Amino acid sequence: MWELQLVFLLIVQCIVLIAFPIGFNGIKVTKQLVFIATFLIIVPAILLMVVIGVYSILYVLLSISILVYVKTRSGISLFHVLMSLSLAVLADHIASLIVFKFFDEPTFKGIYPILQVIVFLVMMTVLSLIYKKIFNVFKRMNISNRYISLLSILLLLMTLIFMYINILKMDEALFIKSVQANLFFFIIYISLFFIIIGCILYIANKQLQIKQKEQEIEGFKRYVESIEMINRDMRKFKHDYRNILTTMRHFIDVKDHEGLEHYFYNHILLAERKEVEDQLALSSLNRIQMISLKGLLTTKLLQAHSADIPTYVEVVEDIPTVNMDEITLNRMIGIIIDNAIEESKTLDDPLIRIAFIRMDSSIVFVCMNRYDNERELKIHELFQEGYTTKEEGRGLGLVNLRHLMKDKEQLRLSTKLQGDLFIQELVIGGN
Amino acid sequence: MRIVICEDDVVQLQKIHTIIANYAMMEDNGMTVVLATTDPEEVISFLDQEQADCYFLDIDLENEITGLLLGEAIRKKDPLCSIVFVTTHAEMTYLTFMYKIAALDFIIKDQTEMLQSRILTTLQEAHRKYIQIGQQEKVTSKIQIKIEGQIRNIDIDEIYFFEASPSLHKVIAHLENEHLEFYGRLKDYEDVHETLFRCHKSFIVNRSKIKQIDEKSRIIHLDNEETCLASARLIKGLKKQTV
Repeated sequence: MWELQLVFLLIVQCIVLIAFPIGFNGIKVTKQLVFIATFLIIVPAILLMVVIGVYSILYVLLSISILVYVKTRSGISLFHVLMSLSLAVLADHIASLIVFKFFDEPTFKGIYPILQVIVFLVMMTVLSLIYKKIFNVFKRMNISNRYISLLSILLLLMTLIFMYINILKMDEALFIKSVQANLFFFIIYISLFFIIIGCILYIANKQLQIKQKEQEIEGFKRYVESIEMINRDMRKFKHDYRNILTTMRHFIDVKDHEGLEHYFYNHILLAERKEVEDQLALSSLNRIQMISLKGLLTTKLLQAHSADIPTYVEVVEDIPTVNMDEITLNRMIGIIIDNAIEESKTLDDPLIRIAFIRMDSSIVFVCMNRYDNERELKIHELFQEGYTTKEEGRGLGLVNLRHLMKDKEQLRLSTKLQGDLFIQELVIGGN
Repeated sequence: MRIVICEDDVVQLQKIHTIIANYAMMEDNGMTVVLATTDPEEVISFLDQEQADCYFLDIDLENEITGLLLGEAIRKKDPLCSIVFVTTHAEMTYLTFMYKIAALDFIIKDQTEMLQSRILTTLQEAHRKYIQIGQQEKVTSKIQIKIEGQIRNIDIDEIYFFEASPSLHKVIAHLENEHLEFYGRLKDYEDVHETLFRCHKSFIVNRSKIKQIDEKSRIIHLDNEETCLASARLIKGLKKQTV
C-alpha cells in the first residue's frame, strides 16, 4: 500500500514538473506530447527512482529541459524548467511541514501520502501564481539580453544544487527539524535569487535607456547640423541670386533671347528645384514636437538621401507629443522606414513618401514606397516569422512591429499593396 | 455635373476655365462651371447655399493650409464630390491631401504642356464617379467600416477573414492585398453578410474564400494561401454550411 502511494506521489510530482514549464511557455498540448511525457519521462523516472533513488531527478530535469527546448528553442524556457523544480522542492517541504504539524495523528497515517499530494498541489499552485506575478514584472522591463538569461539560469542551477545537497544530507531521524531548517534556508535563498535578478535587470534596463537617449541625442545633433547646412545653402543661394541676375541682365542687354532661355532652363530652374526639395523635406520636420522623432527622421532622411532615393516628408500641420512612450514609437517608425529604404535600394526607380497627418483626435503616420510588384508579395507572408527578402534573417522587422504593437491599445497598424506601392499606416489614437 | 474652380492667379484661372468650358461644350454632357474665382472665401460662401460635384482647387506653397482648410470644408459639406488640386508642389502635401480630403487627383502646374490633357483625364474620371454615385442605390455586397470618422465600404469579395487583434477592442480585416486594423468587435461583423461565418473565438471567415478545411488540425486554408483557425465547436457548423 505504501509503495503504491509513493509511486503515485512520484507520478504527480513528475506531471507537475512537466506541466509547469509547458504551461508557462505556452506549448500546445497534443497527443504526441502526452505520449512522449509518459513513456520517455515519467516511466523511466520511476524505474530509475527504484534503482538510483533521489538522483533520478537529474534524469527528469534533463529530459524535460530537452523536450521544452526542442519545442520552444528559447533559453528562457529552461529557466522555467529549473524554476519549476525549485518551486516544487519548496512546495514539497511546506507540504511535509503542514501535514506533519496538523495531521500528525494515527488516524491519518494511512492516507499520509495522499494528504501530502493534495497540500503539495495547493502549495504549488500558490507558488506558481506568485512566480507568474514576479516573472511578469521582470518581463515588463523588456530586456532580451543573452548574458542575463544565461546568468540567471546558472544562478538557478546553483540554487538547485545547493537545495539538493541539503536534501541529501538530511538526517532521517530528525526529519521534520531538517525540513524546517531547509525550508527556512530555501526561502531566503530564493528570495535573494529574485532580488539579485531584479537588480541585474534594473541595471540593464537603465543602461538600455541611456543607450537610447544617446541615440536620440545623436539623431538630434544630426538634425541641427542639417538645419545649419540648409541655412548655409540658403545664404549661398541668396548670394548666387545676385550673380544670376547679373548674368541674366547681360543676356537681356545684348537681346540674346535664345541664350537667356537656355541659361534659365538649364542652370537656374534645375538648381533651384533640387535645392528647394532637399530643404523642404527637412524643414517640414520642425512642425513635429517630439525631439527624438525629429532626430530619427533626420537620420533616416539622410540615409535615404545618401542612397539616392527620392524621399518626401510631409508634415503640413503641427504634430504634438503623443500619449505613448516615444522610444517604442520611434522603434516602430524606424522599422517601417528601414523597410522602405531597404526595398527602395533594389529598385531602379524608387520613391518614398512619408507623412504625419492629423485626423480628428489621432495622428496618422503613413509610409509609402514603391516596390517590385513582379515579386507577387502577399501581406500575410510579410508578417510571418523569419520572412525576409534578404539573405540572412534580417526580415524580422514586421514581426517585431506586431510584437511592439501588442499591448498598445491606442495603436493601429494597417498594411496594403496598391499597384506598385507598399503602404504602411500607423494610427496613434486618443490625443 | 457642376464644377467649381478656385485659383489665385487670374491667368491660370482663365486658362483652366477655358479648357473645361471648351470640353463641356464639345461633349455636351451637362458639365457646367458654376463658379470660377480667385478667392477661397468665395468658395466658402458658395458652399453655404449651393453644392457642386467637382472642385478644382489651387494650393500655394505659401499657404498650403488654406488649400487644406478649403478642401476640408468642402469634404465636410459633401463627402462624395470630387476634389482635384492644381499645384506646383504636390510632393510636400500629396499624402496629407489624400488622407484628409481623399483628393481625386493632383495636377502639377509646372508641366504646362501636360496641363490640358491632365485636366481632361481628371475631369472624365470625376464624371465617371459622378455617374456611379447616381447609380449606387442598393449596396448589398459591401461592408461598412468606420475608421477615424471616415467610412470605408469594403466589397465582400475582397474579404478573406476578420481577426480579433491580439490587443482588445481591435479587429484586423484581412483583405485582398491589405491588412486593415480598426477599433471594433468581431461580434458586430458576424451577421452582416451571409457568407461570413464565425469559426473561432477570434476569427470570422468569408466562406466563399475557403479553399480547404483541415479538420484534424482545425486550420482553414484560404484562396490566397493564408490560414486561419477554427474551434472544435464551430468547425462543425462551418462544414455543414459549406457542403
